Amino acid sequence: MSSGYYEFFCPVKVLAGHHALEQVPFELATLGVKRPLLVTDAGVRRAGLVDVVVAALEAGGLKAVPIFDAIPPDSSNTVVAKAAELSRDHRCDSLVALGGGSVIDTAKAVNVLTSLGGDDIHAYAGSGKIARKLTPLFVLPTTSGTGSEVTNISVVKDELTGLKQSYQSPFLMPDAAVLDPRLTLGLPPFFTAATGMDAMTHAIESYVCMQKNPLSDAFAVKAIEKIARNLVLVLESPKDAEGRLELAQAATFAGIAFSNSMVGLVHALGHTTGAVAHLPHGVCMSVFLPYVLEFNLDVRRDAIGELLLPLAGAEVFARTPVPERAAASIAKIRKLRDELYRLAELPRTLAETGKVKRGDLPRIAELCVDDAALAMNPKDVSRAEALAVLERAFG
Amino acid sequence: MGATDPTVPFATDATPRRPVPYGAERLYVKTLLKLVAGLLEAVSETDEVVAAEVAGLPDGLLAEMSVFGAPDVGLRVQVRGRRLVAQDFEGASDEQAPRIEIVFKHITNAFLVFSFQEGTAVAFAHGRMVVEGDLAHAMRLVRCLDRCETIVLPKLIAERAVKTLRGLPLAEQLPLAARTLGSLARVLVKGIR
Ligand SMILES: [Fe+2]
Repeated sequence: MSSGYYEFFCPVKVLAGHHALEQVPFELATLGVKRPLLVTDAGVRRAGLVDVVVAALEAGGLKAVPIFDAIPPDSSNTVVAKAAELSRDHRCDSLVALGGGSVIDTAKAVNVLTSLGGDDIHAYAGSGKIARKLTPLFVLPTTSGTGSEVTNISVVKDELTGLKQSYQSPFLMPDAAVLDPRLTLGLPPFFTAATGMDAMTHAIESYVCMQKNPLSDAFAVKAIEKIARNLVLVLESPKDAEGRLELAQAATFAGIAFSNSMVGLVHALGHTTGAVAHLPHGVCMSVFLPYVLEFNLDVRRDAIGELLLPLAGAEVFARTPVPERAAASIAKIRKLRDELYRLAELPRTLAETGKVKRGDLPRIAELCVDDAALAMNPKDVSRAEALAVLERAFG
Repeated sequence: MGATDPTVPFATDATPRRPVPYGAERLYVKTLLKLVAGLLEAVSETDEVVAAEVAGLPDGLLAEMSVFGAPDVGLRVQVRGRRLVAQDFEGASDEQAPRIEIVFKHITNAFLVFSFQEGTAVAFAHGRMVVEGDLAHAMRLVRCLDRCETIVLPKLIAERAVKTLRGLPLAEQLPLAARTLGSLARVLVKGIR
């Protein structure tokens, strides 16, 4: 399915490694901007990361950086409008986003308003409304999961309808992704595990689904290898800066992979389960991943088998006969989930989450078949099949 | 430097030739899209599965398929309750109605899909077309189209068109196909408005 034709796009400059933060002032200047608005949330501020970033920026000549830190976990168009207002008040010419998925998505939306004008991001919903280059946006992720630092999508809640609205445009791509181990050192075990499995799922779905191509495959394989080697290590020694940096890179690689090849059934189930049961996205990913691979197995046995190399390493891969590799890949993922349950209490089944009732499953299945993520799943999914996967994942 | 360097001779017999001229592709796709529009209307009358899917779409929704660079080629159907009603693509459409659009990036892309050389999902994976509008509605429309192809196409061709063929037993498919084609004839005779 990878043959024929493909497209690949990633215009984001990656600044990865020790002292990556200190490179930011110079890189901003290269793009001709002097006055960024720092967008973040209260949790990141409490963790002391704002001070670390501001100190690095000030030492690089950017004085009195205005800060907007009122972004809730579930950001909305009113939050976007407030941040845009602050940016205009301070005549900012660029944005620095410091945080997880919600902060990054909010910053992308703020950039639309400050670059193109207006007070309501909703006016830019639909295709083609974001029609030209925006001001520079640098993203400093504080979780290693969403990959939003290298995607062209922003999801923001509409306060009026309560529904999540997604915005998509090549112009939403950030200008730089800054991966500095200091930014994720303090991430608590549960979030480290959940976001790590989100990144793992991005990479695996990218590799298994229909839009895979040689470039997305390369990024996906490297991402899987880094997560398989480092996620458990980091949970065992959370201050391991090298391991943290590996996970941060893996999340960005996985983001580059899936933004060029899309995701599949794990995400379709995750989006709908998350909406119905208010579960964190990464938890849903980890719960559904092995069950979905089993569902897709008969049409993607080769691809899933190839994943044994990055998942388990060369020795195990060489030792495992070809026909057994796909099953071994899935077994390896199950083993990883057991470790994550032991170290971070990351649920392995819907029952273990304690938030989903068996009676919810038919409604989740019904919503799931309308999710756009299914378009690139290698197998078509009927309502009955979605329900069967949900039943198995319930535990 | 390739073509600008006069010292590099070109083998004239190696010049790529098109298997089907663009003009022929355009005529074929234009004709077939008219047929598909009629077929979608017909199948929503004869098949309960499609009618149930359509019932889940907002009333009045316009679904369009078009081709970049070929403004006269396309199809438009409108949701009316549990039915899809084919409309004249070149006629005026309700600008206020909610709309979902599938745009092929080139006439050749549309030709490959509608001559069943490239499946719809594969074409999408290859970036041959873009979808504009509510993606949940698009998923539903694709299910209608898949079901439509499963009913009227022979199994061998349908297999190439859809991702996972959910074949009907022949004893079920043949009468349903006959009823649908009868209905299609009616739609075409009455004319697509
Ligand atoms: Fe995800």
